[in-house]
Amino acid sequence: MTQKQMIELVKQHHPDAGETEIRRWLNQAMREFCRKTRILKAAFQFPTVINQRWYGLDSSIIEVLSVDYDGYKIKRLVGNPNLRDLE
Amino acid sequence: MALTDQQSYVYWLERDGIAIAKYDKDASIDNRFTSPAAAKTITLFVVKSPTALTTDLTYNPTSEAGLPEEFCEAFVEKAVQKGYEVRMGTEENAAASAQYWGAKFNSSVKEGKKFATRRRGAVTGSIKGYDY
Repeated sequence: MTQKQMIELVKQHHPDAGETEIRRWLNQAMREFCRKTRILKAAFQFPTVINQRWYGLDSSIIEVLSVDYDGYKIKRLVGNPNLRDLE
Repeated sequence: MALTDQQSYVYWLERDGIAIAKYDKDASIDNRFTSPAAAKTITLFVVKSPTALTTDLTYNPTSEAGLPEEFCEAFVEKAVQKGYEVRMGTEENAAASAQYWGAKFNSSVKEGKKFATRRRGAVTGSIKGYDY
């Protein structure tokens, strides 16, 4: 179903609503649906930098399921290290 | 990288970021976690949010892998609910309609959860209740 078809369906109930407003509702609906169902799975790749520990996460990531380092699955640390840094 | 070496790496999440470090449990507290000493590839397996709709009316959200066509109806249900919520106070039956469409959306969310959990594999079994 294209965005146009979805907007037309919404307009059957709300003929006075504008396209931009309906698009905003649809975007909220899609985000809520994907967050609640955890239906969209994906893989992101990036290279590490020597001596850099911290890397920002893409804003579209809701939850990290697992991580591979150089092709091998690595473990998640329970909690945080006692000695903290921003390195 | 050898498997034994890989097993000493760990990750943790904090402040919208991910930390990767080599963990040596026998080292002193100051040197227990060291940053990667070489440039390697990190692969994150994640749950993500969908690509937002733009002014491209021909875009189909289900073109994104993992989002089946039948769930487009759920997005419409929620949008219709939001429309009725806006009209609450000015229209007599808007609250009831919003509630109806909200319930339909919640039912679709349940179906979506089932689909996401099954991960396109066969249903493995079910738990049956018994009276003793």
